[in-house]
This record gives sequence, C-alpha cells and structure tokens, in this order.
Amino acid sequence: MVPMSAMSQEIEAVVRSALADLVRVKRVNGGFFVNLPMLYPDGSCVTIRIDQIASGLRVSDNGFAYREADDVGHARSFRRTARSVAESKAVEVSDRMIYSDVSQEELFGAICEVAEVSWRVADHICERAFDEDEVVLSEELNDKLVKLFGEPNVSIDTQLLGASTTEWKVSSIVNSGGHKTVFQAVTPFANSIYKASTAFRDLAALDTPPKLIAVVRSKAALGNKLALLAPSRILEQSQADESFFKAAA
Amino acid sequence: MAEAGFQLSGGTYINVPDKHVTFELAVTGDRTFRRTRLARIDWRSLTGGHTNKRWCPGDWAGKRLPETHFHCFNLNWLEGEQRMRKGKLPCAKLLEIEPQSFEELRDIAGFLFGISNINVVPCPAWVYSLFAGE
Repeated sequence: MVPMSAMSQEIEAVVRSALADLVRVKRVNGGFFVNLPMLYPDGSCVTIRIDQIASGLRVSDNGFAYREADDVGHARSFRRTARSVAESKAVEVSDRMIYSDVSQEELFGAICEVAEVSWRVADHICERAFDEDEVVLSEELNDKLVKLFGEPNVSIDTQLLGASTTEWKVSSIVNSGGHKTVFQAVTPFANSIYKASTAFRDLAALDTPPKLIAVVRSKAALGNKLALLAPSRILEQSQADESFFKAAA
Repeated sequence: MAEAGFQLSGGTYINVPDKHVTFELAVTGDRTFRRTRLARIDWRSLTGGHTNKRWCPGDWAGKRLPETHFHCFNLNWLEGEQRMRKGKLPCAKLLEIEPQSFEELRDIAGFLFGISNINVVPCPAWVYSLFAGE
C-alpha cells in the first residue's frame, strides 16, 4: 500500500504538470500565439493571436474558426454565424476572423471573449456539418436501388412537386411497374424526421400520389417518432432486397 | 459513370513560414461531391497539437499530441461499420520521424499516403519577416 503522502506528492506532480500545460504561448513573427484549454471540434486548441497595433493590442483568433468552417465545407456560413454569436460580446467579425482591438488593461477579458466566440462559432458550424448521416444513408440507399432496379429506372437526389406546389427533394424515385416510388433516407435526428414527415404528407395529398418509402438504419433508433413518418412504409437499410422489390411493386 | 477519385489537399499561412502545414488525403464519391477524409498530417501546428478523444484506439487515447502528428487511416476506420469515423479524423498518433523542413514533410506525406510523385507539390510562397520568433 502506498503511503498517503507519497500518493499526494505524485498526484500533485501530475496535476501541476497538467496545469502548466493548459496554456502555451509561442512567439511567431512578432505576434503571440496563445493555446488555451478549450478544444475546437477537430481536437486542436482554441488559439488566440495577440499583435501590437497603433492603438494598443489586437486580440484575434487568427481565422482559426473560419478555417474549421472551411475544412467542413461551410465557409459561407462563417460570417453569419459569427455575427450571431458575437452579438452580445464586444468582439468584431471580419470576413474570416474574430477579433477585438483593446488596451493593455483589457487584454485578459478580450482573450476570454474572442476565444469563447471563436470556439462557439466553430462548434456550431461543425455540429451542423457533421450531421451528415442522412447523406451517407442516402448514398447507400441509392447504390442499392440502382443495383436492384437498374440505373435508367432510378432518379437520384431528385425533386417532386407536392399537392401544396412545394418542391420536395427526395433521396430517389424508382420507376417500376408503371408507377413511381419515392424512397427517402431518414435518420433519427429531428430535422431529418420532420422534413420527411412534411414531404410525405404533401406528396400523399397528390391526386396520383407515388408510393412512399422511408428508409432508416434502425427502426428502434427512431422509437415512437416512427409514427411521424406516416403515411409512408418504413424499411431498414439492411433489409433483404426482396423487401425493396415488394415496396416498389 | 464518374469514378471515385483521390484528392490531396494542403494548407498553410503565407505569413507564417515553416509552421502550421497540413497535408490531407481524401476520396470523393462517384455520385456526389461528398468528400471523405482518409488521413492527415499536421506539422508544427499553431493550435497546440491535437487532443484525442478517450475512445480513440491506441496508446494516445485521451492524450494530447504535440504540434506535429499524424491522423492515420487505421485509427479512424471503423471496420465493423465499414466507414470512417465522423468528423475530421478525430484520432491521431505521433509521426515516427519529425520533419525538419517542408521538403521533408512532403516526402513523408508522399510515403505515408502512397503518392510517388508528391514532389510536384510546390513549396509554399512563404513571406519571411524580420521578426524571427520561434
């Protein structure tokens, strides 16, 4: 058994080592890069850059939040998202950067605010971007339908006019046996379910409605939200080909 | 039918020479513009390295990696589900060799990504300033 004093010393050493590494500072090209103990979605540290300017100091995120957004293909939403997040803070937003020009006395607060806004913007954008399960499921579904029904009979990522004259984008439409069957990939996320539900109801109200099939990875994952997908029939992606043939028959 | 293609991309900051360089290998889908990341090398990153999630496999699970590290395919591939992990390759490990220059980094990326003619990638047009820094 380890004596309490030895354990305490060991733990203290570990804690002090971790604390010492929470913040890192690097001087690069006359500016300071400060790594803070907050992580962007990609696992890198929220990093602040401090530069001297004529009126004092510029505290910025050096465009790192923009880069996070750009990396996930959502650069266009950076400015709008950043402005929304920064609204209640004393920070500025340019095309690619979050920053604040402050006096030396205001440095601590500026570091905290710019870091917080930068992290929130990156987190918000990446959360939306990574909600791509529907895209993956849709691709798998479309590959399956093309194999089963043949490419000429499958229209992928196509649009269909509903009874309300709203155009709905669906995963695919299969033309088979003289009629259309709409297949739509649906994930357990609320947006995916409500979008499909609204589309299905509008399409079902057409004078000549297509068959409507919701395809999910797991019915259990949707739970009682499955009822929202009425009036469609629901299949699991992993079900046998026969089920898909019967659905479109 | 279009065929799936591999993409090599990279990035750096023009005013921050010899630092914060990324090489990334991805594949695009044959029916969509969807891009799936396969592997990435981060060299001398300015954002404090990379912290692995605790559920990452390998010796670096839950730990912080230094500024140069490798988001390798094997750590980010889910064999049971036949797909890459969600996100920007959330798991990484150390590079066995620390590149000392862009050219060395490029060669290592070529080796790790299996690209034999990676030297077609030009050196960045970095702007060097009088402030040496680190």
